[in-house]
Amino acid sequence: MANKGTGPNLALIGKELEECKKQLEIYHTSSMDLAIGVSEIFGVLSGVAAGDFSVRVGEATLSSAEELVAKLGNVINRTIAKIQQGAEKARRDQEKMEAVLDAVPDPMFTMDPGMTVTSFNQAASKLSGLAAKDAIGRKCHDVFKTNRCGNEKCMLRLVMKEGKALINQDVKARDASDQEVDCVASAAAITNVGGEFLGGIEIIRNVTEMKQQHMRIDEYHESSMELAMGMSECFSVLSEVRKGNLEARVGEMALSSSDELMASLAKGVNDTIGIQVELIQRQQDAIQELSTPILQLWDDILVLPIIGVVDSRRSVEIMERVLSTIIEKHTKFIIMDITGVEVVDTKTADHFIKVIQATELIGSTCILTGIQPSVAQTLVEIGVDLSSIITLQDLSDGLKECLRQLDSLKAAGELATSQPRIGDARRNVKDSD
Amino acid sequence: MAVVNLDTKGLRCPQPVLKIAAKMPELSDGDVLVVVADCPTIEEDIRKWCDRMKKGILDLHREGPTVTVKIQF
Repeated sequence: MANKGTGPNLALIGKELEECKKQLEIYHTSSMDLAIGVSEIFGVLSGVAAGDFSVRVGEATLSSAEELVAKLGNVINRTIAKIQQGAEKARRDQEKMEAVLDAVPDPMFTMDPGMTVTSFNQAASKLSGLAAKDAIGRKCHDVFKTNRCGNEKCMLRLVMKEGKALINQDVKARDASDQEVDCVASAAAITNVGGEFLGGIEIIRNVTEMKQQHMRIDEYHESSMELAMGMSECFSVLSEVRKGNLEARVGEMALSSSDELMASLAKGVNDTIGIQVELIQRQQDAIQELSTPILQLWDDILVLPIIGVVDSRRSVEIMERVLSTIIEKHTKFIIMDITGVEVVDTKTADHFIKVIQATELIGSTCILTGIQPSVAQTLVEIGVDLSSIITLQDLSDGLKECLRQLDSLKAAGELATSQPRIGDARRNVKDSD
Repeated sequence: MAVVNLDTKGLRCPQPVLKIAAKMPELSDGDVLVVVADCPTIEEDIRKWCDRMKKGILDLHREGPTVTVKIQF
């Protein structure tokens, strides 16, 4: 304000002007410091944006800028430090995750929703023959080329569609040498906290060797069962043989379906049965021979001593042997001595009568001797008619009767002259009397 | 008609079947063999055995890992 009367005080004005100049310089300097500080901060942020976490707002800014810039610089530096720590932690987590995936012995990989492989462990590399760096970024169906890739059976598609994990699904994949291998695969969806689908994880295990082992076990089981079946058949046959069924044999099935051991065992059983059958047959022949011994006691006189039980089979044998011997030796008399028969029933008596009648039909005379008192009693009780049969007390009486009848025949000239020993026989009989 | 019991628990194929086979001579037509087994393949094995040996299965029931089979001889 002008001082009236005295005019303007130029000294004061000059002083104020001087002060203004100084103030302007200060403003200019601080504005420039601020601008330089802000520029430096922009430069640092630009470096961080480019991934350079080593950049920092410089000391000069802190010292030369206003307090505001200094505080801003501090905040930025702390933020960058935190980002850097986070990035380091993320890197370590990533490495840890990769180490965990690589430690999993089964092939494992992850995909994004677009089926692009995002991680790939060492086992997956071993199976596919692709390094992780080559597999990551490729479509998963180009990596393993399974029979479920590219169709409605795609594991990831099913997981996305059904919203639940698929466990142990049979898959045929291609290995490093492009050979088809049997695998079992499991897949699950990867989602974030909000349930958003981020991709999938799949584990694919090569079970070719295990499957081959199972096949071998099945084959072993099959052959073991065949062996057991064959042995069962052998046991069955032996059981039948024990019951007396000598016709039983181990079947062709056991011989053909089982291994060499079983075949030879079956053959052994069959051969053993064959030998036993042959032995039993020989023994039966010998018993038959012994059970019906026909002795030539004198010319024209045969003796058939019978011991034991006479059943239908034995009676047939007696009949056949008696008749064939009579025919063979042209014998006139046969003495059937039943001293050794202690039990006689209707059937046995009937057998004796039939034999006697048959001998008479072929021109011989049969005399029954040696009827035991108990047998005689039984025959009377059961009413067997022996009136037409010559029965004598014992073999001696039978021989005498035969010799008597031979003499009669000789006297009548009905007997051939070639009987030089008849007289001798008579003498012998008389001597014995 | 006799009922014979055969415990094959703890035995694995083909031992149970061989045990049955070894028991055969002791059994007559009409007898019943009651087999108790825990072999995982026993059901299949016994059905196959019965089919081959022409024996009938009267009853077969499973309780946990244990299978009880009645075989008609």
